[in-house]
Amino acid sequence: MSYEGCTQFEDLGRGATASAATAALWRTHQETCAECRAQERADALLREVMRAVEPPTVENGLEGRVVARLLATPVTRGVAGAHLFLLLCGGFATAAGAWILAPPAPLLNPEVLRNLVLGGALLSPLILMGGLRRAVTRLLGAP
Amino acid sequence: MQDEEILRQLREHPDPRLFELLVERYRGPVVRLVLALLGPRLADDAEDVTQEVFLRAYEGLAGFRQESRFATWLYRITYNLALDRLRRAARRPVVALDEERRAELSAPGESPFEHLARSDRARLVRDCLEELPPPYQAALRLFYWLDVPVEEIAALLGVSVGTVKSYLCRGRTRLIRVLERRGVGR
Repeated sequence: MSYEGCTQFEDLGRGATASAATAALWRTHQETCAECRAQERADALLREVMRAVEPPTVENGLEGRVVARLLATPVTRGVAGAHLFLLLCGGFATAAGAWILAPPAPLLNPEVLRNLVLGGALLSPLILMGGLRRAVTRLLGAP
Repeated sequence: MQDEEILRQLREHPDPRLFELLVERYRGPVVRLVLALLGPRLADDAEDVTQEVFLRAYEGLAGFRQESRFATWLYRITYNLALDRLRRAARRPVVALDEERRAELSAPGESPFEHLARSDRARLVRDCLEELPPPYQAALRLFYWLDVPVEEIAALLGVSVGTVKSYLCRGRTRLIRVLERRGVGR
C-alpha cells in the first residue's frame, strides 16, 4: 500500500520531511484510520482474487493474422464491389424486363414493380457492404 | 526503426508488412489493455478485439496527424473498441464460462469445499468489480491481475501516474462499498 492511498494521511504527513518520520507516522495512522483499513482490505482481497485467475495468453502469430486480414481487405472490397455491380445489373434487368413484357396491362402495376426492384437494388448492397464484407474478411483473413 | 519513421514510410508506400513491425511492437500492451477492460469473463474475446484494433489503426493511418504519439492514439482506439465490445456483451449477457472456474488455481492443501467457497467469493468480487467505471476497472485489473507497473498503466490509459494512483485508491474504496452493499467484505 502506498502513502498516496489515504487522503487523510496526506494531510497529516505534509509536515513530515524525513522518510523514517513519515513511515512512523504512517504506522500510527494506519491503526486508527477507517479509510486505510478499507483500502487494505480491498488490496488484500484483490490480490487474492485476481492473482488466482491465470491471465490468458494470446497465441503467437497475431501479427501474421493481422497482416493477412489487411492484405485480404482489398480483395474483400473487390468481392463486395462485384456483388454490388451484379445486383444493380440484375435489378435494372428485372425492371427493364417488366417494362418490356407487360407495358399496357401488367399483372403487377409497373410503378410498384419498379419501386420494388429499385428498393431491393438499393438495400441489398447495404446489407452486402456490412455482412458479406465482414464474413469474407474473416474467411480470408483468419487462417 | 522508430514509430515515426515507420509511419512516414507507410504514408509513402502503404504496406501491411511494414505495419507488422508496429503490430509486433504494440501487441503486448494492446492485449493487456483489452484484457483489463474486458475482464476474465470476456477474456476469450481479447484476441479478436486486438486484431480489430490494429485493422482500425491501419485503416485510420491517413487520418492520424501525429499530434500525439502513435502509442497514445493506438491505446485510445483500443479503449474505445474494448468498450464497444463490453456494451455489446451487456446487451447479450455472457454466462460465466467453466474455463474461468477451471483457470482458478487451487491452493495447496485446500479441500474441494474450501476451493468452491473461495472461488464463489472470487467470482462475487469480480462481479462487483464490473460495477465500477471502466477506468477504475482497467486500472485495478492491470495492477492486480496483469501485474503492470503504475507507469505503464498511465501510458495505456493516457493519464498521469498520479491519476492512476487515484484510480486505484478510489477503485478500492468503491469496490469495498459495493461488496458491503452485497453483504460481503465486512
